[in-house]
Amino acid sequence: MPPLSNQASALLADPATLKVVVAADGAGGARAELRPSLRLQEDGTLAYAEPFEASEANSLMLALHWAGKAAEILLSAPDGRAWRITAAPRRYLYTGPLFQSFYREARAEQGPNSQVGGVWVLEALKEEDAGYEARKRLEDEARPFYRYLDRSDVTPKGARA
Amino acid sequence: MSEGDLDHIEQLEAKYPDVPRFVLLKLALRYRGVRLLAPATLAISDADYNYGPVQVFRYHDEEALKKAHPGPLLFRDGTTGLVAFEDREVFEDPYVIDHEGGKFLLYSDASKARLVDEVDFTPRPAYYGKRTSSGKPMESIATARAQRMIICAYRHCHFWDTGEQCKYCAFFTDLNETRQVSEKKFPKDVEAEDIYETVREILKEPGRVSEIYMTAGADYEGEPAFEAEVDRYINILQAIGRNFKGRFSSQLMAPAYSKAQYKKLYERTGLTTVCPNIEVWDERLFKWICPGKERFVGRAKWIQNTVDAVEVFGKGNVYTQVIGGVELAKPHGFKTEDEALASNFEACEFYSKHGVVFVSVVFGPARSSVFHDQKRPSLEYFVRLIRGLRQIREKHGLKADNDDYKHCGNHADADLERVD
Amino acid sequence: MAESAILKDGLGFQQAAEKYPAFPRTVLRKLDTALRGVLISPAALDRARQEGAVYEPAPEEGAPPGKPSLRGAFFSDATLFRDIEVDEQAFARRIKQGSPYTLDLVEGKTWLVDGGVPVEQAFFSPLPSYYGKRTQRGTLLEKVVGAGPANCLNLNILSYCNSWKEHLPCKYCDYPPSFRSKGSFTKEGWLTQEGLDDIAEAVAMALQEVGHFTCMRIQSGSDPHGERPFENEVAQYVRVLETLQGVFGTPKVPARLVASAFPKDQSARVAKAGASGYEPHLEVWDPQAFEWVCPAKARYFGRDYWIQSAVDAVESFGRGNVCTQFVAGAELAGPHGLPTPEAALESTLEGAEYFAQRGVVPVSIVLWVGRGSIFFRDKQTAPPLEYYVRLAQGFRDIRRRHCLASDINDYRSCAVHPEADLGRLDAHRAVNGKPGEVPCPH
Repeated sequence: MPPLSNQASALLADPATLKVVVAADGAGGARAELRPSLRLQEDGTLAYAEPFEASEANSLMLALHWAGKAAEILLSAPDGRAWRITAAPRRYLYTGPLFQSFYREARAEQGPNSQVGGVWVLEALKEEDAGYEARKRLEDEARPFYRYLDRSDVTPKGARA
Repeated sequence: MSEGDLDHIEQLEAKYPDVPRFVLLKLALRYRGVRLLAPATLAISDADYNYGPVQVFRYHDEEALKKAHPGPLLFRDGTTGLVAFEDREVFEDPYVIDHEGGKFLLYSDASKARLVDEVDFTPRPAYYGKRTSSGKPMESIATARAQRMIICAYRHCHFWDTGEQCKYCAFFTDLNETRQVSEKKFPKDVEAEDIYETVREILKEPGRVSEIYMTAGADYEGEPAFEAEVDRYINILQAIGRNFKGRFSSQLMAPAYSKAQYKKLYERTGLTTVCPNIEVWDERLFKWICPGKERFVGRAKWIQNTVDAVEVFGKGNVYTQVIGGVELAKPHGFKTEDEALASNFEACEFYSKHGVVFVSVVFGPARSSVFHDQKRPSLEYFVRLIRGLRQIREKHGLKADNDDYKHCGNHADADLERVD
Repeated sequence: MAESAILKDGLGFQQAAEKYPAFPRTVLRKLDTALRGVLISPAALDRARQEGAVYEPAPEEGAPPGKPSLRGAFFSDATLFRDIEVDEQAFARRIKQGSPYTLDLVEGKTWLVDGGVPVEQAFFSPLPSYYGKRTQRGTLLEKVVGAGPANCLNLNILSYCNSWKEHLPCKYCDYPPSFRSKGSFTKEGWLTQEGLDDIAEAVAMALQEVGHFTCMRIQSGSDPHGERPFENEVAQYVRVLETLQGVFGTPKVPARLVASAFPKDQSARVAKAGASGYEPHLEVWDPQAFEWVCPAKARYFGRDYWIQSAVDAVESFGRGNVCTQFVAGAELAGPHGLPTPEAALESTLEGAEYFAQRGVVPVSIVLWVGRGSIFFRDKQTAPPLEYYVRLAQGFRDIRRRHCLASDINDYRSCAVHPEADLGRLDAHRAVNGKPGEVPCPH
């Protein structure tokens, strides 16, 4: 996939952005977790720290990796911008310089008792604007019969309440 | 265990895990009927629920007009159940709905031995009880399902005049006799202006409607056939269109017009989809069950016109429906369910290849129809049918948005698409 | 000979992957590398050096020159595979199956290569930063405490094993231990005070490296002697644990003991001295094969005793913190082993179920036939890959059913138990216990 868009990169770089990673196994198991450590790496991959080795989120992400499937990342900014990235887990590591970098970051932010189970590296496969207006435009075009007829785009002013 | 009872539902659930329980219940309720117990009837009299008995396709006398009547039933997952009550058909052992603790509760039968689930009913639209400027009750102009407003533009089917009506049909009867109600009691024409005003009224209720649906009895007057009807629809659709900017989400269920007639409709109105129902695919059975359609259009031309309509309205914007189960009607129908299914799947495959969305409904032997004494096939037949249709449509990239659970609620095969 | 589909089919990696599509590919590869071995190419070895992953032992007076070695390498999911040898001579120190893998550079990246085809990208793990440093006494720290797979510090506290002394070693064992340093052990083979001081200093220095270690493994040779069974051995563990309590500053030390089978009161004693986990390895479940493969364990003090020791220890350590290990494949070694891999599976899984029901975590390892062991002399071989696949699945299923995991002996702290790799998907469901709790709450 080509490099992530400027919009996605900007959201990832913004500390005010909420970053949520969702892993689901397709059999009813799913976990959404806030991942404030999620970042775009120089090589274009994404990486985040998983705090807890034995968490359900970690198991589900591993299951996705083993199955060759993808997770979902949602980025949400206070100004309403939102972006979705479909990303496949490509590597889990708990040693080495990348792990150390996240570990030290956690120490700096969360204090000497902080914990990092491991680091997941993901490859972005697909991205899209998840903002409400962008989604509405797409959905209205693709599925016009779901638009309420009292919407201002559908009816002139006078006919509405 | 009997057809469509709770034990049967549980058995079907185990056998077809890809068919949700609510869809099975929807089919079962259609199959076995529903009776409202007195507390439920009382609760329905509440203004929020009471649609009244007035229905745009049926005549009701003074006594009937006093009765409360609910809108479409809703299951907890949003599935609509267009259940038949006992005034329409004869049911031996219907499910019952009671009202307890402020909730509508569905039970397996009159003994209330087993609670099935909590249900609800579609709230009555806010325009009900209002009148047009010509004094017509708006609910006599249009009714509403969850997200669809249904308008009847002409309350007489001229196929009945010569006994050539579709044999399962009970439109515009009083449900007692196999004939159309007289003009005096049930005026045929519906004024375009009344329709315009009723549509304008429903738009005042935020979020109530996302599709305008229209149909009528067949009127084959004009040259070519049905030209008068086409002009009537254009007139009405243009009136409705004054409420909107440009094209609006809509469906016209009408005969299979010629391509030129479809072009006229498309170019002069805001109509978005059409639905010329084939009703039954098999050539021999089509002629027997729908003699009027056969005489005034003919099966081959019906099919061709439907396919041609895709060029005008676009892939996925032309629908056609089959009355599932009617193809097994005696004495001339298929002898086995497998044969009947094969015929329907052949039809679905054909239409899907040509960009037409093929859906099914469950045959109900209405009391005032020719087929009033026919039996339905097994409930499992309908389960197999809806699964097959959904798979075929999915293969061809087609979805029944216009006729889905929110807009129509009468096609269980479309309900299955909700997870696609 | 009894019929065996596993032997007859002799599935290779690809066939096994096709037959067991749900078995994670990386774990299957790990098993296959354990059976076939891995040779690292000079180019990949250079790369490993650049990444700080190669241990080059300092020359020791009077000792033969040491070879460089790696602590294994990771696949992309952090599954560790070991058995990486630097040359043919080192490679020949083990009896392996088939042809070896190669670890090589492919387009600048490190790959595991099979028959010339890159099959799985591999990643090295840098050595801990304490390697190469010395204690105040001048002892190299890595000689005092080794770093095993990434998260674990390893201590060996006796310089002997009584089983070898009595010429009754476990038949797969290629002891003696390799870590020795001058003045660390008495003539009896026990740690001197200097040896204990070295341990305290080495562990403290190792722990200065952030984000590296989560636990310790303390092991020794077996010593059944003393006033009570294994009293000598217990006493040594207690000395080391008390030293480590001083290092950690807590009554509990995050260390598991891979030790002999202590009586109940003795395992309680080491728990009180600070041990967090305990592993008296039964090694083989079948009674006849046990007697033959582990004659010293049979003599001191029999199969039932070894089984009961593990079960009793759960009360002191809590469920999930006591493990027993099975050397998978040893139970097949002729002439007294089980006749087929199928029979071996049935037997070993029966043993795993027995322990799991009582809160003891069953683990398995792939039979290692190394030079110096009796099995090497007798040219025993490990069973085919499919046996290990089915065994790992069976262990995983048993552990899953009993909600058992051993966090202190998992894929990160030990990395030789394939069911622990598989069990990563179930980690969040494990119900581990504390001392004194009921061993099987569900």
